[in-house]
Amino acid sequence: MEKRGDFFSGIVLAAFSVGYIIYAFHYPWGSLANPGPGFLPSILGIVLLILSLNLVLRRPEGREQGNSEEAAAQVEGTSGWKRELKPLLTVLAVIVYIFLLPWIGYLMDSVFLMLSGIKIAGERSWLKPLVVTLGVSIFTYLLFVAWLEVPLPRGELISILGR
Amino acid sequence: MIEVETLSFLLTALQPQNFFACFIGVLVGTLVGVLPGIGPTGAMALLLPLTFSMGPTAGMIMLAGIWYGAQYGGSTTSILVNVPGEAASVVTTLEGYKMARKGRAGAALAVAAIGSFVAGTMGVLALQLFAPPLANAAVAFGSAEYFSLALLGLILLSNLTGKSYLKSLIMAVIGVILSTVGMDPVGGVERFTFNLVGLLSGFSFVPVVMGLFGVAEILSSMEELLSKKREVLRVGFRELYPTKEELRRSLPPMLRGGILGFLVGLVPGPAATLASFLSYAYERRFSKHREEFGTRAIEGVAGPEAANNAACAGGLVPLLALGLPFAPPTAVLLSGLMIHGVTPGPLLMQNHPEVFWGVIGSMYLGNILLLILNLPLVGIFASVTRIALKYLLPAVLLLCTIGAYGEKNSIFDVWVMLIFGVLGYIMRKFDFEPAPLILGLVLGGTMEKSLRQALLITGGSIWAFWQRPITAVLLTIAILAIVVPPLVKYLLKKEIKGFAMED
Repeated sequence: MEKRGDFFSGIVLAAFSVGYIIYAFHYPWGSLANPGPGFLPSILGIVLLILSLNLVLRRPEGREQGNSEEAAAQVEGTSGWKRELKPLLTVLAVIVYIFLLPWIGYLMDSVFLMLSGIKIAGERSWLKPLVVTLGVSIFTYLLFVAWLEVPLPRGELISILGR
Repeated sequence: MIEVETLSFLLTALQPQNFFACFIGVLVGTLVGVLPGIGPTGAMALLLPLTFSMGPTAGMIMLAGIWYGAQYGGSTTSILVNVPGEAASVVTTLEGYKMARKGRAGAALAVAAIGSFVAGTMGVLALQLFAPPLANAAVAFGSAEYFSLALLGLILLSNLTGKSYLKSLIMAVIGVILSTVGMDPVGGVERFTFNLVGLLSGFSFVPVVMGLFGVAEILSSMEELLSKKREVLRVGFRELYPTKEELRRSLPPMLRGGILGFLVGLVPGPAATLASFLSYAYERRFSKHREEFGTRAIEGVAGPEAANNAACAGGLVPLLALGLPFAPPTAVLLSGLMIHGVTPGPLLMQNHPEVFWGVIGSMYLGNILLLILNLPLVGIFASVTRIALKYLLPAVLLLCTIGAYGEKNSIFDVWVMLIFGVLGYIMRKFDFEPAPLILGLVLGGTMEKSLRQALLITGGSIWAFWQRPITAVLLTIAILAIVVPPLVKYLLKKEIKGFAMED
């Protein structure tokens, strides 16, 4: 597991560094006495490429402690894709949140994010999450918008409807 | 002797606004320490936008308060729930929770708080004594010195962070690579922006930190939510007094932890965590009550909890004296200073004495406030650990989005936060540490600028670097730090193989 993870992350990193090097070479290198904007990026890209190839090629380092810990965690938790389901849904919720933000405004959008977060986390009931969500959303709204004057979006849709 | 002027600057911490900032900082810090799932770095980045209206002195006082406050709070969760509130309190679970099971929870909490106070105060004192001479010496530093300091910092940090040196080094390089996005610091050429307006001034530090230390943490915690009820041991107010014997045994570890912690804090790396581990290892080895270790040794609570506090003060030395952050929390402090137009560096003490001395003065005050918060009021904070994670995590997630949006009022930055959150989550799975990346990102600009200036001055001669004594020493250590660890590992492996052959 450990070894395979190193191999794949090394490949991804190497690919990234090749892409970076190609871009870095577009910028003038200058000279050693007067380095240009491409100077350090080129060096960095090459260093990263060497390091990531090292990661791909390195031998497994015997028995590492991490392995047993990881195995224990897997036995304890739900195994397989179900473990990653909650984080994945959370990310989706944030994506929807970002898209909705300019439209429905901060207050309603935060109700959406909190409520979906609590539900994804596994709360079954509805009343308690609703109360907590409303409380937190209104509190942060008062704190950041009313008191600290952070200009959080009020929402296009609301101002259109309000007219 | 402390001069009168210095003293008056130290006392700026007592001005109402600064006092309030200090109180909020240590209160939030304690909460963050108590609550697992969000660490001091994430919380500091979260509250960075709050400092906009505060001014640099009060802002820095509050942010620093969160950092050392979290070291106090972390022990509470470790002792009562057997879950470390944050990384630097991991070792406290070893003895602290065992003590709690044996009915000495109160004593463990008290010793942790007193130890934090003693060492915290020792650390500030040392900071006050060491930072000014270092800053005065550093005024003479040129770009060659700055480049080699930043380089050495990154390499040492990679050596000390995480399980794998190679992976941490990769993270540091990626951090520096990310810092090359945006305007080139010397000529102003636009680099790697892919025509995105949001990237013109480079990756904003706050959303990246929120992503790597906030969102990634939330996503990982989401995985482990299995509605496992945590058991929180209760403590009565009267149990809080340690016996005379317990106090007598705790004092030497506290003092040792204070000195050790401060020294470790000076070295780039996860100072607070490392300091607590080292202190625990030391006490276990040299304690008179070695047989009690692993069961209920009070030395194993007093030492580490003292050490992680002193480490915070030590970690502030390079930031305040040189303007270089060597740990993620000080990186947040640095960007806080920059937002307020205060240039950190050796001239900070001369140009902004109220910031420099105000922060140091506030730490004396903060440690007293923390002792009050964490001793008589520990019960209140302990009850905070009963808040269910399934409510806490979404709330923190919401705060992260506000923080990411709030710095520049840009939705682009919320995207940046989310992307780095997902990256950080994946990085964790493959054992890549986020700390070197953050520091690479923060130090990258300084590194590139100073390297290019230095080369310009020396006319492209790398040998000229070795003619400057400080640069030569720093670069030599950096090279040794690169070469020695793999060499030692190789030799050890050979030896083990040799033994195996003989067998």
